[in-house]
Amino acid sequence: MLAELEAHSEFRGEVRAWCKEHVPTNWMHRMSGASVEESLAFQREWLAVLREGDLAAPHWSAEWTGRDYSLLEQVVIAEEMARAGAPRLGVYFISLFHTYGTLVHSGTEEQRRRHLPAILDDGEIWCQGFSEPSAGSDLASLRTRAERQGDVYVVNGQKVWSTYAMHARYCLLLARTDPDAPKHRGISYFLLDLETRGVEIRPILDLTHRQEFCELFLTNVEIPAECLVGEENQGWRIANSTLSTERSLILLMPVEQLRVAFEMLVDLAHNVPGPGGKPAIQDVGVRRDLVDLHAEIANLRLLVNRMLSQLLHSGGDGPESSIIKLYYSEVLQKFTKYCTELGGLKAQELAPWLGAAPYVSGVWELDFLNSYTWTISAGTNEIQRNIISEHALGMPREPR
Amino acid sequence: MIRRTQTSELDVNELRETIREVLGREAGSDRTRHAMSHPVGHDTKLWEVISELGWTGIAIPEEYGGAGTSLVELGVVVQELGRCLAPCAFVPSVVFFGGALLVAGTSDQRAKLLPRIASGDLLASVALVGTAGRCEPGGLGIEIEDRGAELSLRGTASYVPDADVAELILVAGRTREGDLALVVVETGLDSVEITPQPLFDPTRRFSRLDLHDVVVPREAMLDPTDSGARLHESLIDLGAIATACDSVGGAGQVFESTLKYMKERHQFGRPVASFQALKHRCADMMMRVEGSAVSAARALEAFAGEYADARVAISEAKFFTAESYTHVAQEGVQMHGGVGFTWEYDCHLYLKRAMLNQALLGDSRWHRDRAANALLGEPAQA
Repeated sequence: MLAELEAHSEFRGEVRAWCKEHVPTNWMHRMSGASVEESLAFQREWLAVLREGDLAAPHWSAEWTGRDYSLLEQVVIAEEMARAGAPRLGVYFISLFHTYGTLVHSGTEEQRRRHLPAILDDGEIWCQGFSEPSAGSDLASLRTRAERQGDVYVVNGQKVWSTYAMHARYCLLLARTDPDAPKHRGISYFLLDLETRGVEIRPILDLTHRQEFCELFLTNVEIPAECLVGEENQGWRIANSTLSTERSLILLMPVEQLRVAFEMLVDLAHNVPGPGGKPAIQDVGVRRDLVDLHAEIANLRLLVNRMLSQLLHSGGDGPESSIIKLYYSEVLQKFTKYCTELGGLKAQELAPWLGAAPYVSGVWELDFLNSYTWTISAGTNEIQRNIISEHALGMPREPR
Repeated sequence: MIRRTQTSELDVNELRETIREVLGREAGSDRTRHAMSHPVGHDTKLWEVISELGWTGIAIPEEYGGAGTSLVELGVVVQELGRCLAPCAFVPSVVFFGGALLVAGTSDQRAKLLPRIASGDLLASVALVGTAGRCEPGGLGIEIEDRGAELSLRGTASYVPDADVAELILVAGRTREGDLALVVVETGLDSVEITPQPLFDPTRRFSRLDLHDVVVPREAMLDPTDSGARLHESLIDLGAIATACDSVGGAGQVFESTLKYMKERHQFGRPVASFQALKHRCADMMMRVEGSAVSAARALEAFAGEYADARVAISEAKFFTAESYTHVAQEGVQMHGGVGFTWEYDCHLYLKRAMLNQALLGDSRWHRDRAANALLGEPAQA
């Protein structure tokens, strides 16, 4: 894999040159303490620039972007973007990965034509309506109800943890269509226009004192029948099986960014005092800790590349994406916690949030606190461990 | 130099399957336990099979009678041997001795010895460690005296693997001038004394090597134009990689057998494997096993490709895989419960091997410091 990556030096040169020309300089300064609206506008601008360079969605097929990239090229793009310190398109996370993956695997041609170009060309934002107050880890017990009435489904219920719903136009929605079927077999997958009557969105203040995730209240919301994805009652299967590759591709950039982040940690260790007043980088304990983190990051990167090529060869809904998610999120948390601790009291000083920042931004404590979005969302790490032990290791389920 | 050839992942997997199949027949717990109780730890019957199949020559160039593939394939063999704790002198003979000749043997040494390594005819070893078990040059206990056409060696080396069956041992020592040199010594000489050093790991044999004025021709020295210290580092790299591969193989095996046991063993009316508290620990073990596999692969590629950060990759692989192996083997004993504490079950053999691997050729702290120096630069002197 490493050798193959080296072989892409010409392509790498092109991407690097593009980044040099287009990644805005000093954007972190501009985004430091930015309002939600400013951050949103900035991400919209950056998406347009990426679109212009055919780099907005390297994992999308040429049908939608005009250009196909091999997995190795995608890795190279992620590496170069991370090294160039490119902004992160957090608000388009669901649109670029989940909406695309779902529609390509399970949507109709009409759904794809309606929605995919609008994401890249108009910056249409999507959110996810999966979790409910009583259906978190046990997602399949969700109770939001969708009843077919003529040409529409009438939806009633409540969703929670829908990130950026207040900025989104559409929502990937799971709702129960057959309350009498076993819980996994009565769920359907919908594309919900959030401007429909009966949708109410309330942001929730998170522990970093920002408003990113929301509650959705759905009262007699009418969804046209053509907005059903796949067949009725197949929603659980669609949500689970069609997304594993996309879920893993999501991690290409963050993993590469960790390597950049390691350099930030080395800088930090040069600049904070260690025991005895010498720079921490001189301390044997700190040096060993740094090597540990470096080894984990190197392993993670190889693991992601290896598992991605497996996923792409075999397609499949294997446990690979769970393994990668678990590994990444734990390394991220360990890393950001370590940086915060090494930063001492200085790192405890309240600092403004960086809009569009990578997961490791250098505002260590915020990075650390935010790492919980990775260990909790999209199936907590405890759920991932269940999936790994049951699907990869063949261990029996607990009696329920 | 050891060659790096392009090998597809598919070929490597096929090779792995073949080796696993052969070792499933020719090695395994019974054979390992037989060798444990035998005065000689090296299983000659297994060695014949290994030699005949050409594994001994897998990474040796074709001009010396080998198959000429890369270190990656050699790594697969070492992993698979580690999986079944195969009792033979493969790593000392092929990886260390063969590797050393490929790195720094004179053309005469290569022509004479490599074909014998490739065919499995020659068992050999290396003495890189002083009596205190330290593997940096300062810890060496062998003195080399330059007598013009001849060299004389005196002193003691410890923890020499499979010295009891080795015909030749590559000995690291210091000259009067303080330079480090590596010299091939025949164990048949009267002035060479080999004393077994039994370890807690009963599946491996180590010995102390005492040299009482051993006189060898000057030609027995590895390439004298190269720096001895650099060679010594390369040998530690090779040993660290071999240890990492052994750890990956062993961890994989002990993990699989533990899972198998947990699925069969019932308590409270259900398989032990169905308890979430244990399943989560198994998921974590899997992360360590997978992480170890890519870590060792990175080290193999790094050595073969001479990357700038090769030393970082190799030292990181050494401590990460050995510590992961220990973790998985510990969990193996614990999750087997009472039978995990018996001599009859193999868990303890893997735990002992894992602990040995951590200590061999630089312990985890030593390799963390080595990686740190390569990665972050040497620390300023206090």
